[in-house]
Amino acid sequence: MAYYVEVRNLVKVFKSHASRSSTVRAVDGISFGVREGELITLLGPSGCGKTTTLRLVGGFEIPTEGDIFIDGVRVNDQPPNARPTSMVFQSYALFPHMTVFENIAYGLKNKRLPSDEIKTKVLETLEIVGLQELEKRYPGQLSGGQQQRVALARAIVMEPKVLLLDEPLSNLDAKLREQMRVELKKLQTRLRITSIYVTHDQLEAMTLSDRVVVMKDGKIVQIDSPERIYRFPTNKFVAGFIGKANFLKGKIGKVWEESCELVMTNGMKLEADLPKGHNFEVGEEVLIVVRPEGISFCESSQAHIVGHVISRIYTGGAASFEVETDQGVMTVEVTNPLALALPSIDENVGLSFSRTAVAVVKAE
Amino acid sequence: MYTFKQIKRIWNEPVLLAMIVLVVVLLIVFVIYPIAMVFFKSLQPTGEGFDLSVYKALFTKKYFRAPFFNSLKLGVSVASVGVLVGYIFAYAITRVNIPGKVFFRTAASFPIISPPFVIALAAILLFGRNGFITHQLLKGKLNVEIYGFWGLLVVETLAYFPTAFMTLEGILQSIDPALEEASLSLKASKWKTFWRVTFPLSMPGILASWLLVFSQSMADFGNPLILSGNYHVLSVAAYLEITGSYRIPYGSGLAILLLIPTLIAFFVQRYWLSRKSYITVTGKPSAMRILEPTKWVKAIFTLVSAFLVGIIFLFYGTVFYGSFTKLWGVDHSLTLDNYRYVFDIGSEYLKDTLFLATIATPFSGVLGMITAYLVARKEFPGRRVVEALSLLTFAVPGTVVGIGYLLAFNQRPLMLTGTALIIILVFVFRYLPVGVQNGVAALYQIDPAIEEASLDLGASSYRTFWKITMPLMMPAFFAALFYTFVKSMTAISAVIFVVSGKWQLITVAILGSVENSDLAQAAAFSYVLIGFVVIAMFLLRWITNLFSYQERIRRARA
Amino acid sequence: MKKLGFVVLVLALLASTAYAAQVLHMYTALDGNEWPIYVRAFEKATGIKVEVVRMSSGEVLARVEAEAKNPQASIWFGGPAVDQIAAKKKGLLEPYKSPNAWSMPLAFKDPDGYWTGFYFGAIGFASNTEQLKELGVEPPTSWYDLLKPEFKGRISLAYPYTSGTAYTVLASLVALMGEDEAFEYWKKLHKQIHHYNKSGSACVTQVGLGEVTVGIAFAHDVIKKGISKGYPVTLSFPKEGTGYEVGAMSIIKGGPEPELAKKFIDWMLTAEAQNLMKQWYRIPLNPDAEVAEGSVKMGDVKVVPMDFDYFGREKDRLIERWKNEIEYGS
Repeated sequence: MAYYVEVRNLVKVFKSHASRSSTVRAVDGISFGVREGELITLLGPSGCGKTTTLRLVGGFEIPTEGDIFIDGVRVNDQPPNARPTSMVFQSYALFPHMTVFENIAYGLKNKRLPSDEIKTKVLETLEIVGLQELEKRYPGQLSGGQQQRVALARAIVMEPKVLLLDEPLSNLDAKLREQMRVELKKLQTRLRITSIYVTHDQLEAMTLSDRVVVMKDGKIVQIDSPERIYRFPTNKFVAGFIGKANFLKGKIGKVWEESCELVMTNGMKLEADLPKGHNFEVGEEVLIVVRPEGISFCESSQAHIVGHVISRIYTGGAASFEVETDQGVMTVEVTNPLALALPSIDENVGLSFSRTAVAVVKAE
Repeated sequence: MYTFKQIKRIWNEPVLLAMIVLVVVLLIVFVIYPIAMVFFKSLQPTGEGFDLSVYKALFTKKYFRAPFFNSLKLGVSVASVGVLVGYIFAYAITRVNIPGKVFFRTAASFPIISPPFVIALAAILLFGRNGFITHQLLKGKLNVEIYGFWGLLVVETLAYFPTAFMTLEGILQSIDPALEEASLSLKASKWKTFWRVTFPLSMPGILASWLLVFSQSMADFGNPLILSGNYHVLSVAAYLEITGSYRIPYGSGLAILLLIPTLIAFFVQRYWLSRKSYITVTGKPSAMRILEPTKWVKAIFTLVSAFLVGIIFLFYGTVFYGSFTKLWGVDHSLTLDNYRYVFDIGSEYLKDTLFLATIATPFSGVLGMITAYLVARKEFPGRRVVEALSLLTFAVPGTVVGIGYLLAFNQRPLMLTGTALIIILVFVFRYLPVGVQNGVAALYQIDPAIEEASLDLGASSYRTFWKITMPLMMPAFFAALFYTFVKSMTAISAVIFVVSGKWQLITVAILGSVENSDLAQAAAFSYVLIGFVVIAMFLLRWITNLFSYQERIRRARA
Repeated sequence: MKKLGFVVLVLALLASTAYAAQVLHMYTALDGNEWPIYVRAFEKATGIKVEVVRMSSGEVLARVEAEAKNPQASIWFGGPAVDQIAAKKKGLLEPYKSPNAWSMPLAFKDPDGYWTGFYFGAIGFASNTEQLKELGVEPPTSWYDLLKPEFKGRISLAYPYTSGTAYTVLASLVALMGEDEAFEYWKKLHKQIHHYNKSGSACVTQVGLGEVTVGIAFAHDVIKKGISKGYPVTLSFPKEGTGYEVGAMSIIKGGPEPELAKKFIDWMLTAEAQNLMKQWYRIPLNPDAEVAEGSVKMGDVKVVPMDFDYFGREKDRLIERWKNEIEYGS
């Protein structure tokens, strides 16, 4: 299936701020595609090149190399105002001298739509984002969440072929962020606008995206659905960046088409699922990824690994433990802690891993 | 490759390209060319051929060497005393929490917006040969010689310490009081905290304002012209060399001598010192919590500040009183004759000055904003050079500019001598840097994403400038207008070389009156000028209220 | 839009300066209150409009020189002949022999007509009578009286390089004593000087106000700006003989309105115009003109014969020497 938005071998080189002669490859030869109506997330730590990629698609940066296609048209040479994209900025970039209405109407005026049509569209969009009655306010008079919605409304009123969102929730406080995340999800389900969403927050990425593009140092590390990225990370970075993970050394004992048997350094064996088409081989040294929420306490005899508790933090809905083992300190998370008899500090415990909480990545 | 793509992009936006070309051409013709002419003439002692005999004379003849060293000595002294006074004042306001801060701050801004030589005029009225204090009060028992180094030191310090004060106030405000609190909690005394924490952190600001005041003193023309006595300084020497002895090569040479130290000071301050700064001024001073100092410290700082402001009031008050006296020093009975004279005989001067300043102001403002926009927001080859050029006239003393315009626009194809245009051009380009700086500062505070958002929403870069950028720059634009207007009204050092009979300026009339010992008349002229400045200030506030979006929002809120 | 406006303004300003019918552009070194007396009368008598720029005599010369390629004015009115001789030397003037220059003595006009005199003035001493009384001295009647200890720090005059008046003082001393002796004398005088001014007549007001006791200036300035204003000022002359100036006017070479300039010179030499000068206590050169009461005449003072041509030629050198030996001497 042809992609609606396609990026091919994109490279962006900046002059380094530190010294005049050196350069920084902010985006280093990436390629990916977005299907129509799909929301994909560019996820990565700060400085990984995700915002630069978004700005290249939006036309705010000129690519050093590579091509960008939208709906089959190469847009490399189009300035932002000619591209069929709309951007929601991290800082919202609301025009402080215009009212909410004027802000949202601005783009429509640039399209030279008749004013009654503009009015209808603006009011409709305000209703979509839940900001009726506020159209006469100035941005300075709005709360952070309201400003966020105006920024969103201003972009979607343009009915863009592609909606670009640059960390749109990062300026909100935690509670509001959660609320807006849910609303964005609903909105996306309803409107199905092809979107590229940039964030460094894995939770946002998991919640919102159809697919996630994990980036590091200007390169793409993995592209996949949220579930599969969590379940089958391709390397230690992805495993550690998305969700929490304990890493244990091990070896492949046996290997099948979609699973394998792992041998831990203490001789214990366990089975794990693998993605189709993996390239693990018997005897290969690997890292075993164990998600903390998939570990439970048990008798030493039934345990995959043993150790003693060195800390215990109770947070209401969950409790987290640090257990020292001969493989290093492991984190264990227990949900519904009140229902169980939990070990205390210095207690010797056994840990067993549920199969769905175990993944395998190449040793580095 | 990269630059090529940039050029290609600029080429695709003809309006932008035209703007860049326009600004570059204007800067070359009206900033670089005149200064180059001064340099050129100083190498042509006989009118043809080139040699260095002028400079040889400047360094061997005592009457040329003396002004150079006099200017340096005065500049160093004024800068040192001015920065000290400015620092004390700034410290009192930002760190000691003295009562009446707004009042003190306002009073300190008087010398900045008033005609440059009002303070010198006040000094003459008070301490001159017929001074109120020296002559009337002390009956000549105390022999104060106001004409010369000491008089200039006092007058220029009063005139230029506000510059240092404003710079240092900003710096002190940006030093987080938490740093001082940390020092105190680590058991350093307040005294030690000041010397080990506050003072070192304000050092870049101190050096910057020192250089700023140094340049201002070097470039000062109005005060030395009427107060230097036999203490010749470069700016006046260059002026006399050209208008008194009509030796243009030597006047040009002196102007170049004046230019060199001020240029060095400017570049050191701008390109070296600015990088040394420990703190980046965010424009958002954190809510100041300051430690309440002891009663004594507070009392001392309040007294010192009050004393300083007292002198400012004494000086301005004296000129005000003087403007109503019949004959200063002889007959102090009150009269309106001086104002009658100003509005009768002097009305031509008033009309011309107002007209010229009013024409120049919007051009300077708009050009400043355009330049600021190009420099701060657009990528094009030579951007840094354009920025440096647009700020250059800051560093160039008015005397040099005046001589430059006199020499440069005197022949085809730019035959402007004697026209109003040459005066207007002096105003426009002399005060352009403030517009550029205000504009750049405003732009740096406006999130570039706002303009990107506009482009993203389908507006062209031209439309984005007029619809988004310009409205947001309005406050900076009006501030630049105000500055240009005030400075044009009170200008003297550059325009004195290009005024003609057809176009006369109030400042020139004031200098004439002072030279003629018509002090009361000069005082009346000065206050009429101050009156115009105050009216302009209120007008500006009114217009700003009318057009600024911040005001509209404030009203919407109410 | 904005740019277009700018261009229009530039064109308008250029056009407005180019358009000037029947307007005479004049540089004058006469006092701001004096030139209107003659200029307004001339405008009334001829209907020609005059645009006047006032500058000190030295400034006029500098300006005319600077504008040599593009003269902005047609006539140079007033100021001592010395500066106009300098201008003649630099080729900045146009000769014109006015039919009204009668049988004027040669000292009062250029033999080739490059400049024409219209008044005569003598250097004198202005003294503050009240201060003289306090000090118990008589008004100075000799150059050497100025060296009296009572006058120490109580004398002012202008810099010879900024003021025609002060240069005339220097020239008269050279004419009277010989150059070296004159400089020796001024070295002693320098110690008596309170300060130097930039304009020649400023010292009269200063004497009137009591800022200094004695000023050295032209007699007509002393009367006009001192005595006639009611200041306690008295005028005296050195018995050894004093210097004088001839107030001159000339036509600037290549100026825009040479014909109007000639008309002005002719008119200024008529008795009708010369009569006006009594308002300023000047001594007219037209023998038919009236002399103001209390004014001095050529015969009232002893003058040293002065070779203006010589002093015009030697001005740069004399001033250079003055700066070296007097101002920056010792």
